[in-house]
Amino acid sequence: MTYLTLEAAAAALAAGETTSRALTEEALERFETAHTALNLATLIEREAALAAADASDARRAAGTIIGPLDGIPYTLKDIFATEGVVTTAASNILKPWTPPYSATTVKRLDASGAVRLGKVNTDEFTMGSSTETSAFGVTRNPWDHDRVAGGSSGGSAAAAAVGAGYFSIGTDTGGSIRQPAAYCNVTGIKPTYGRVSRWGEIAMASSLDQTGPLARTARDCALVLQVIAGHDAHEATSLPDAVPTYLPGQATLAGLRVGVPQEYFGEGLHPEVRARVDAAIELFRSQGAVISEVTLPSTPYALAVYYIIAPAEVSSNMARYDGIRYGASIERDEPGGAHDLFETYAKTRGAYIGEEVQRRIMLGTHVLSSGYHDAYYKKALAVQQAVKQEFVQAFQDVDVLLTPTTAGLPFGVGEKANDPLAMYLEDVLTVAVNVAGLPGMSVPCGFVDGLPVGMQLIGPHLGEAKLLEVAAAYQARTEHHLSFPNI
Amino acid sequence: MSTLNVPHLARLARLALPEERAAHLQTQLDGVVQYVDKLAQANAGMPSHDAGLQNVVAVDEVHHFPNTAAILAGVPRTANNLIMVRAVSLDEGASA
Repeated sequence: MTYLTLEAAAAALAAGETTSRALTEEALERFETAHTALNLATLIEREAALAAADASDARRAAGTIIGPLDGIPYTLKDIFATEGVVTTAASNILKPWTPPYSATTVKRLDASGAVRLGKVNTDEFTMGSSTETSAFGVTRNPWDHDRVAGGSSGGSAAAAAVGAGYFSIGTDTGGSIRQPAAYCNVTGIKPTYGRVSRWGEIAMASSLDQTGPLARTARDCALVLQVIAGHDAHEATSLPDAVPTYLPGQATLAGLRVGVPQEYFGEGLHPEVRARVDAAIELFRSQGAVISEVTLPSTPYALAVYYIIAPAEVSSNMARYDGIRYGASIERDEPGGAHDLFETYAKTRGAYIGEEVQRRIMLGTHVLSSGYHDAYYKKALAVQQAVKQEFVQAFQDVDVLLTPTTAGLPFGVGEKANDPLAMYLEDVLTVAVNVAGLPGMSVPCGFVDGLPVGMQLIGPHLGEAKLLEVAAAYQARTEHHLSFPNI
Repeated sequence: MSTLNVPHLARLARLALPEERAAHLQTQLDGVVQYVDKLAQANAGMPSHDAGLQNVVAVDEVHHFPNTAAILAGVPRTANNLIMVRAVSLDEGASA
């Protein structure tokens, strides 16, 4: 029996209508079938998943069930450390790495009783917008196999779209949950920076990275966020604020103040994408929401800010992959291939780090180098403050902001692979949310020629509960999110 | 517009790049730098230091890791439970 949502599957488990083993076997079958068609997995953990499902069923029989995720199958973006299980970040330099510890998010999911089916594809070290930079190859879009699933959490979005588990855990540094969610017709939330621990999440840009769920519905995302959010003493930027209840009640849209920033509806926006988002705005209006135009004048600079701050942090974070302590190394594969320490570093990093990651390391090294630091990095930090202040100002008058998630439709495999700037522009509507550290969601809002379109909801600092409530209210009145691709 | 010195940056970044790839990166990175140069037009002062940031200090505790063997299992070169590192420079007479 197929259950479309996590919430329905959890209810069926609670009512004794199914077992975790049955859900897990079915989800594994879809995971394996979808992987053959779309290349979405980096690791399928069939035996471990079935053992975890049986353990969940045993807890249920004993009356010691842990919570709503107990026995629910899910997939994990291959960017989180998992003790004893290989973690690759979709990079050749980490293909041989088996972590000696687990990420906080993984530990919290393990403690919730959720059943991990395996790991899913990402751009290498999450650097990309299409999964095309993955050392495992591209993940294809379940709605059109000639197009990309988006990225970097393309494996997560594709898995959630085809029902390979009832949710997936992704990460978002510049749009990496929201853009693939839009491209695959699933719901995804990037929480406020610091809301979910980054401990054990392999770092890309540490001041921007944030973990979040992708699932069929906003209510499903709420159930998952409830488990993974919260303070972590291991992580210095983890927020100490108490975690509210995320699962929304019956929400009304009457009186909701929705801001529509005009900078997100400008040149380059596909007219049919705009039409679907405009239709969503009209639905909000028809339900009594108050729609108003707002202005965020620094928005055109947000992408440039991002492509200075993020590579600067990348160049620092990637320094740890040096062929000395772990991962692939010229020392292991070509004994005698390096004659001093510099050669060990340079040959290892030249051979095993992919081209896009190398590009960002070089860019980051450039913007931090002597003579350029003030002109680039310090200026970017200054404009980042302006972007943040404009959002703070906007949220004095509105409850949420509503925009398109992406300017266009899912693009073709290979279409932008050799044009980094064109690929970077994929993040143009999502990146300001990361620059400001705010929560953002992508919610399905229609189709154009069989391809999904997402709208983005942006909330104030720690406004996840409001975002989820608004998205759930929209989904209670629409059916776009219930469309299911044929594999 | 600034043009990147790719060979210099590659050395700073500890990346051994074939000439062909370096030339390819030169073209691509120049395009990206040209794009981010638009920030010069943004009207924003230098960042203030009162932007709500605070220092977070971890407790200074000694931890003993019981899984040293698992950690060292991933290390390319080891000897006597230690990580082997090549000499910084052979010119100084050190051995690998």
